[in-house]
Amino acid sequence: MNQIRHLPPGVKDFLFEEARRRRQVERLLTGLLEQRGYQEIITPTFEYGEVFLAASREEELKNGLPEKMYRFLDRNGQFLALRSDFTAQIARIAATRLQGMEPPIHIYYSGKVFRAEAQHAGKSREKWQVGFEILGDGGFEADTRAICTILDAFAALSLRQVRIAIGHIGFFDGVLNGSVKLASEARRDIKYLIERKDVEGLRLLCEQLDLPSGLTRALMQIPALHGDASILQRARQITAQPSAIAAIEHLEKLWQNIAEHPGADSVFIDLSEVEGMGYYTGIMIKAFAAGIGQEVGSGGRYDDLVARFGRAMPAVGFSFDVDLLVEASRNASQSGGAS
Amino acid sequence: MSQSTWNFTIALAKGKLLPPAIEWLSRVGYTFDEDLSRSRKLRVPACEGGVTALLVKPDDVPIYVEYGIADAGVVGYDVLRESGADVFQPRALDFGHCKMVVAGRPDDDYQRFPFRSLVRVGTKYPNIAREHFQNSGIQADIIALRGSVELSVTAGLADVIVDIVETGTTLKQNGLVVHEELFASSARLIVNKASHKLKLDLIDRLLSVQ
Repeated sequence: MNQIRHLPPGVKDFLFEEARRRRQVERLLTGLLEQRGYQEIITPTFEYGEVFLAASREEELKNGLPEKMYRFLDRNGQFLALRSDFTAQIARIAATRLQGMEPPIHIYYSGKVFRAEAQHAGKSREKWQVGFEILGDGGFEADTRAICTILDAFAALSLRQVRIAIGHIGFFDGVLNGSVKLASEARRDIKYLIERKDVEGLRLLCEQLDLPSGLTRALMQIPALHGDASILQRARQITAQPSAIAAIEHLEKLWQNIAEHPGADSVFIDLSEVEGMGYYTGIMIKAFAAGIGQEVGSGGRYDDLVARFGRAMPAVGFSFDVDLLVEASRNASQSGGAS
Repeated sequence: MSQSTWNFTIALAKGKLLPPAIEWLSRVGYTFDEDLSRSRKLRVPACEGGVTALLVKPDDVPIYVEYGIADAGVVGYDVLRESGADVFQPRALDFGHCKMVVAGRPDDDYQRFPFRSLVRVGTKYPNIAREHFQNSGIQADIIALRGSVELSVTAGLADVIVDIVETGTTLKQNGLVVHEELFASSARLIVNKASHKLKLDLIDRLLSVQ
């Protein structure tokens, strides 16, 4: 068959110069992480599928297995899956093999994740990620350290036209949970519309659900809550829910903590960002680089995930997309590296 | 480094939406030396530095924006929904109003369609049509057409069409009636997800004008 000369959609070969550029980005990132005291973990390319299921959202599991997971049976009929998420594997390792280690534990990894993305906008089904996790520290220190590590990484890559968006899932959850009891379907729809910043759709849905006017007003403002620390003042005015206020205060403190760090001017607050891994419980971070139409890295705090593997441990982490960073570096050097 | 110094590209749908889109942009403060509706150029710089308009077919607007080639775009909600593009859509604009409907022959009993083993649907919106009929329990054969969908019913290719109507004149001329209204549509401002973060002040400027 002709198949012998073709690749399936979503995967690529990288030849010579393109391979060199990827290795270079990998080396810069892992070199920086080593220098900052992170230690490498190499995880298997496939393992029992349940590990990745444990890190999946409830909605994804409702209709059977998560559709993006590459899964198969081994010869004994055991359910296996290709690595779809490093963090799930590291949570498993943290709960089992790192029990005796003194926290905080700093870890990094470099490798591929496999997700059967819909063939849309040239999305890859095999992504090369370099990422890090800080395990066993539930406080500001770890969140601050994570953000500073990200800023240092972009500096190491000589990428200056970048923006780091920091949100907090506790804000949205707080606003939504506070006043009324909503069906999980309604919550999902509201979240989806806020993810898409679809204010018009949100207005129609709130009308349809007959939400209290105060809640509707608050929800309608969320898609525009992004900017510098003054945004947090505005956010305070739209809600009195204790958990939402706690999220705002957390971000205020974090903002002060990182203010002096080199590159901090590329950081901004983004409470409109509610999309992320289902296991995020605190801050959510997304990184963007000039000329790249999607996020070049993402991460967040996940204080409940490790517990799903049998031992409670707060954690925060972030992963960079190597292919997109290569593209961003090329753009930057073509525009003369100008910032 | 101010974000405003960065280049900004906006994709505009050629056709009916173009004149009101240009008019809206002029209220935002972006004007063009040329009459874009008549221009044969595909890339037109605005009078204000750094802003460029891309003139593309409506179906292509979400694609340019999703890939980030255009930072933002103006396109009908009907086209956007059909495309399934992963973009932000922070604003409904007050032009290009229409409705997505199922229409067919006046003598057909639409209520009984779920009992039919097969309903043929002619449409320029196969994704919207497929989703709708899957949800409504009607077994449908979706026939994707490029234009003149009313003909598919009058010529006997399809039982119903899924299409947009503004005034209903075209339906009437072809002797068709609306069986069901699916949703209202109007022009939308759509924004690339990364541009939204990278060029926040320009996006906010677009959002500030009704």
